[in-house]
This record gives sequence, structure tokens and C-alpha cells, in this order.
Amino acid sequence: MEESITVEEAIELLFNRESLQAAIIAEDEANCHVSAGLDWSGHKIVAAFLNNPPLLGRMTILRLSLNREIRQMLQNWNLGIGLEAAINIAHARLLSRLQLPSSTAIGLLEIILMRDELYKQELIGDQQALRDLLRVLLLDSDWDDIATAAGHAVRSQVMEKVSA
Amino acid sequence: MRLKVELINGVDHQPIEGFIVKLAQNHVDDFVNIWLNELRTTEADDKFWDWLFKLEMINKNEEYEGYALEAEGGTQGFMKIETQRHGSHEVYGQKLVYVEYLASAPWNRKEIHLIPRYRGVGTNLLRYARVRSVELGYRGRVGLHSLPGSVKFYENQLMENFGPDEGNDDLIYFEYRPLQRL
Repeated sequence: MEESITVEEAIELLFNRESLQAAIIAEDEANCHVSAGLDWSGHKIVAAFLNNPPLLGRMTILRLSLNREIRQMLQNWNLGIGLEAAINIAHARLLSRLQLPSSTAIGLLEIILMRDELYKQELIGDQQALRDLLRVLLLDSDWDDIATAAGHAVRSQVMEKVSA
Repeated sequence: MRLKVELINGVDHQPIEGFIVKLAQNHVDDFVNIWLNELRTTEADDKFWDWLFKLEMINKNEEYEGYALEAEGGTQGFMKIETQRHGSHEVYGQKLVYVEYLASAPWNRKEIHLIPRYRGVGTNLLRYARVRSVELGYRGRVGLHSLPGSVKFYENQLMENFGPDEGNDDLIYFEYRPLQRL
């Protein structure tokens, strides 16, 4: 196995003038601004956990885990051609509920965020905890939107086939 | 920590000296007092990024690190990285440095200023993330989710494009493989 590169070698490789100039030219050619990352700032959830940054830091893991869980739930519901539309709207509703959670949801979020054992891996594996939270976070109107999105996708498919 | 780097003056194309340093209160002050007005005016994606909050998080959590690029007496860019929790999308189980936030000052952005003041801010910060990855034993692996307007930049920096990440608002996930000797 090749020996790992040293820090000094990395700095020389990445910050020597020739290499850096080429990268800056590539940056110019991209002709776009440079940014990365999502943010929770400016949302109610930030205010709720502002005094406890470690909990807020776990929000990303929790959100990714919830996204995966709801995808798996919908996949098991045999939605056919409506599945992707249902997942898209489910993720969008979930994000908005996480950004502006009800006071009830904030309480449950705090409990789940404090359970250290859930955050040992990249994503949370406790499906029951995630599903309990989904039931509180998503409102009846959200599920109705998810169903409507799936229904529209089925309708579009039928109309497209008929007119083909 | 203070790493000397080189930027390019956008007007006369001459190199100028800059420094990557640990994120501190004076950088946050620059963001609040100087950057924000321009970001609000242009409705840039990152106008609500709260660097004061990020600084607090960084100070309270070892896994987070924040860096600023200083040049000509001002803050030219910010970066926040996470160093413990994220894994490679290429090789399961390999840790990497994850770039949570990266932003250059509004006057260095082409979509805001036809002639940016300094070029190379994002490039330098991204390269520093690779140096930290080497320092941490991750061999230069770096991952990030790109905002929609920045995809071309990461492609041009030869990061591998793993496509939209459905669990992360469909932002495009990019990753640098281990750094190799020439």
C-alpha cells in the first residue's frame, strides 16, 4: 500500500504557484460563485436549540435519517408511478416542518436529539423512533399533499398514454 | 495556525498575499458589518448564514473547525468543516473532512461584481480542507454538498460528482479522492 502523503507534501502540492494558478483559472472558467452547504440558520429550530449547539449539530443526521425513513415507508406502500412524486413532496414537507416545528414537535425532537446512542453512526438506525417522530412532525394536511402528488403522477401517466 | 496563500487581484491580475487563519470574532464582525449589506441587496443564497452562531458551535464542539481567508486587511472568505462524523461516498467506512459551509466575500463573486476584487478565495479554502484531511489521517478526502450555483466550480476543481443527494434537498454531492504524490 502506498505510504500516506505528509502534510508538508500536501501543502507543497496544493499551494505551489503553478498548481494554484491552474486551479484559479479553473475557478474563473466556472464563472460562478463558490459556496457549499445547507443551513438551519434563520429558522425557528435554531432559536429553539441555540443554547445547546451539540443538539443542533445532530439535526442534520436526524433530518437525513428521517428522509431515508420516509422514503422506505413510501416504497413499501406500492405507489407505483406516483412514488417519486410522493417522496419529493414528503421531503419538502418534512424540511418545512423541521424548520418550523410545533411546540409539541420541539419537545419530541429534543428527546430524540439527546439520545446519544442514536448518533453513533452516520444515520440513525432506530426505525421506531424515526416513525414516532414522523407521526408528530407531519400533519394530516402533509399526508394529504403526499397522496395528491402521487395521484397527480398516476393521472399524468394515464393521460400521456391515452394521448400517445 | 496561519498559512500563507496567494490570491489574484481581479483588476491588474497581480498576485497578492493572503492568509488562512482560524475563524475568530473579527471575521464574524466583518461578515455582520460589511458582507451582510451587500448580500441582502443581491439576495444571494447565503444571506442568512449566521457566522456568529457558527463560531459559537465551533468553539463548543471539537469536531467543527472554522477558517477565514484574510487579505488586504479584510475577510475574503469563510469555511466551516466537520471532521469526525462524515464518511466517504466512494469507500464505505473511510472518514473524510466534510465542508459544511464555504463562502467568498460578495465583492469577490462574479455574479455580483463583473470584475471580482480577488480571485482564488474558494480555491484556497477548499485546498486547505484537503490539507486538514491529510493532517487528520484521511489522506486528503474531502466531501461537500454544492449549492446550485456552484456546481461548475467543483467540477472544474476535479472533485468527483456523485449526483443529487435525495436526502439532502437534492444538492449535488462532491468528493475529493485521496491526494496522490505526483
